[in-house]
Amino acid sequence: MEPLRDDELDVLLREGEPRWRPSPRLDRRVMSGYRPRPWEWLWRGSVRVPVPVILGLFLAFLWWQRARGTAPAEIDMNQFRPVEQLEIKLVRSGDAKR
Amino acid sequence: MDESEFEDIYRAHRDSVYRYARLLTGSPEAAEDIAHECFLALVKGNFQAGRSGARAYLLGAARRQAFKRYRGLEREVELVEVVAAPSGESDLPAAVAAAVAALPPLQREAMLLFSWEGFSLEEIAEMTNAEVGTIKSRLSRARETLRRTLAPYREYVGGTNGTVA
Repeated sequence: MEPLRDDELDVLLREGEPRWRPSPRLDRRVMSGYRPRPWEWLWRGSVRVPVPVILGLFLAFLWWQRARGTAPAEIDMNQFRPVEQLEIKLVRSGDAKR
Repeated sequence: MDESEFEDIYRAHRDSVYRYARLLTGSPEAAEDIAHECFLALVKGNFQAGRSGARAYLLGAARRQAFKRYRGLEREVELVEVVAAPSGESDLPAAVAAAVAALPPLQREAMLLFSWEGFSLEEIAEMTNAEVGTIKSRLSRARETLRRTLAPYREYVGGTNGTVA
């Protein structure tokens, strides 16, 4: 059979253009993907935090940690009493077992 | 991009993206998956609707998705069905689609983008990372094949509008 001419092929391509349509499910999938349900954001969402904010928070954390570590414990000097009896007692290992 | 802008783009290009993906993959289900991913990528990629080429962007994304899913995509179509005696004019779109689907993937793609999506050779070359000469060659070979496989449907050329343009 003789092949089509170019102009004949153009007509067939124009008349035979596929008119495929996706199912309505695609519309639901795409639009729900654009409009996520509020609770989905808690599960899958993310936030963008500027780097200076992260650095600032980190430095603040370091400063807080350091401030906690260097604060002197409160000591009540009145609780100290001098040693009443100071005797040096030597205990040999054999004595300890008895 | 606000929601109404996105919806406008979606409605304008949904069928093109779906058809393109379906012709590349041969699967309606895969075509829907690919179309879904392309439109969501549009949103997540902060595509600016003011920039030209939302359709080119989407079809480029669909192309990457299709080739990623189906490496060495080839579609075997029983050409016997295409060249059999036509049973009615309503078979023409199916016959044309089957003939195009039987082309090698890159020729099929060039045919779709040129004949049905209306892109220029230069635009197709840019979308497919090929030279214009390569696109011309693919189109030429595709048309040569289609002239033979669709020859049985010659009678529809004259019967559709009475004359051949």
